[in-house]
Amino acid sequence: MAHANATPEEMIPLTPAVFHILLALADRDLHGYGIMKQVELDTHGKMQMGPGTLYGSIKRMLAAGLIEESDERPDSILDDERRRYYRLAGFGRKVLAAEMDRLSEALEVAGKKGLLDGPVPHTSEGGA
Amino acid sequence: MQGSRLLSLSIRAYRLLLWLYPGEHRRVYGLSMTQLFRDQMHDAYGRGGVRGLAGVWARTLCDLAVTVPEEHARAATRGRWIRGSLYLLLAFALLSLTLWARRTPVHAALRTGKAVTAVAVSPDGRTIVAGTMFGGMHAWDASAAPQPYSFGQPDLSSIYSVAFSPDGRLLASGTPCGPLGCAQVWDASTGQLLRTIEEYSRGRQVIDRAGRAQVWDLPGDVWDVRFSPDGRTLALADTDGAIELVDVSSGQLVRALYGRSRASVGPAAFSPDGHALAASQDGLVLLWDVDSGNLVQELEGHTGRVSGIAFDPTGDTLASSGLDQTVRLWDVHTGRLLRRFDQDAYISSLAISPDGQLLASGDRENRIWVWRLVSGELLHIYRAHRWDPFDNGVLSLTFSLDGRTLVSGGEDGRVVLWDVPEE
Repeated sequence: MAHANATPEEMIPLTPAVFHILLALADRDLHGYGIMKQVELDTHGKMQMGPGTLYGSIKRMLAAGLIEESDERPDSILDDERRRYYRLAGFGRKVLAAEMDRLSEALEVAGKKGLLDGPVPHTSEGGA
Repeated sequence: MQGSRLLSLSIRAYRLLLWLYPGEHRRVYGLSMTQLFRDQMHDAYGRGGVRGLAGVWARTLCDLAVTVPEEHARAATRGRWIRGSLYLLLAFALLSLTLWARRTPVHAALRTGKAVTAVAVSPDGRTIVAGTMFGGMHAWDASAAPQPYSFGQPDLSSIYSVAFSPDGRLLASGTPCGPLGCAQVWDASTGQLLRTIEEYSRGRQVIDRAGRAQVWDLPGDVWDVRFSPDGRTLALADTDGAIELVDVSSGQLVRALYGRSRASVGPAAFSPDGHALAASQDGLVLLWDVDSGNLVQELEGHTGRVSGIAFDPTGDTLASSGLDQTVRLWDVHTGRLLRRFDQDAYISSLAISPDGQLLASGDRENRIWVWRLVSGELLHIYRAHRWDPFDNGVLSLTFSLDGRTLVSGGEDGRVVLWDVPEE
């Protein structure tokens, strides 16, 4: 992972783990298990991260300033107090946007070449 | 093992595996990783039981294999990286060993030093007795760590068969005819010899299959001894072509059942209701009506000597194993062959579990094949006895009455207690 003062463009392309963790944190703060479950849900079970992969990625994302530990505890009543919550940092949001742009451009190229016919939905149409 | 115990053992094991990571990574994220692993395990157990736990373990081990070297490489701790890799290899080796041990669920292995020709478990499951060639009888209490105790008499060198009475108070042994007769009845709790039984059928004249008169004139050693289900009668299958039914309390001959020739008879088995008795002779499985003494069925199919016979608990089905590498299931009433289990070595022993679900067969290559009796599905192949090309492998097999333990006796001189897998 690139240094913390890198530009968003220098951070991409993202590894699948980092991309999906950023995506999972895009709309709410989550703890480790929550991130893992959200990624599993987002990828329809295709990506199942183990503790080593998840926390290795989190460590490097924290160092790169993509995410930060959150003081807010959305499930504080139900949760173990020792759980750490994470949220998307401003830089992380920019990196995610840059990555989404890159993917959109790639999708556009793929669309022009007729590669998106069939079961893959067009993202700009709001889904199938 | 209960699920909650598996869960807590898994979490403890994962905590130990975390030591493979660099110290700093472990200090900062160890707790979170353990929490995550615990959450995954609880979730998987809730959804898929023990199989779910196995799935998480498989993923976690792959995760460890990738991330432990990665974290060491990133931490620039080359020496530790090598050490971490070695630890990881060791962890995999230990895990493989554990999985192997679960696949071969040996509860205990007991040594006699001589080929174990017969094994029996007392009905209460507390005593295991083994008969050996040239090594007499051996007995153990069937605790978690079985302890041997002396049983029988030193002048009985070879034992062909042993059987507990249904009430567990008596033990019968079949032997070569000698100073202690051809069969003996013992007090199962003290080991005291209560009765010796001589050869009865000598001098009897019978008509053989071809209609010729034959006189039984040679002493026949007793291959197999079986108590009738009511415990009153002892069946002695001998090497001289007859089965003698002896009254246990008086020792008197009640009836003799004659085979088709003078060839050895045995092994033998009573049907669960005690009205029928099956035994093999010359590759045939013969079935007698015990009350009349008539031979009522001849089951023909094996192309070699029959090594094991067992009824299922209903008494409607009979299993026989042979040197022709097959186990055959027969309909007792019609004599029809119901199923054939093919193996790739000659089969030297056979047992059916008391609930009639499992059939175990021991072969010459020291393997024990566990089959589902009704469907014929092969469930497991176990190995524990030492293999020797000149051995006859697993010579004896029996299930405990509660069906939880399978006991095997081998030519390697060992008696192995197996935990029967739960279905």
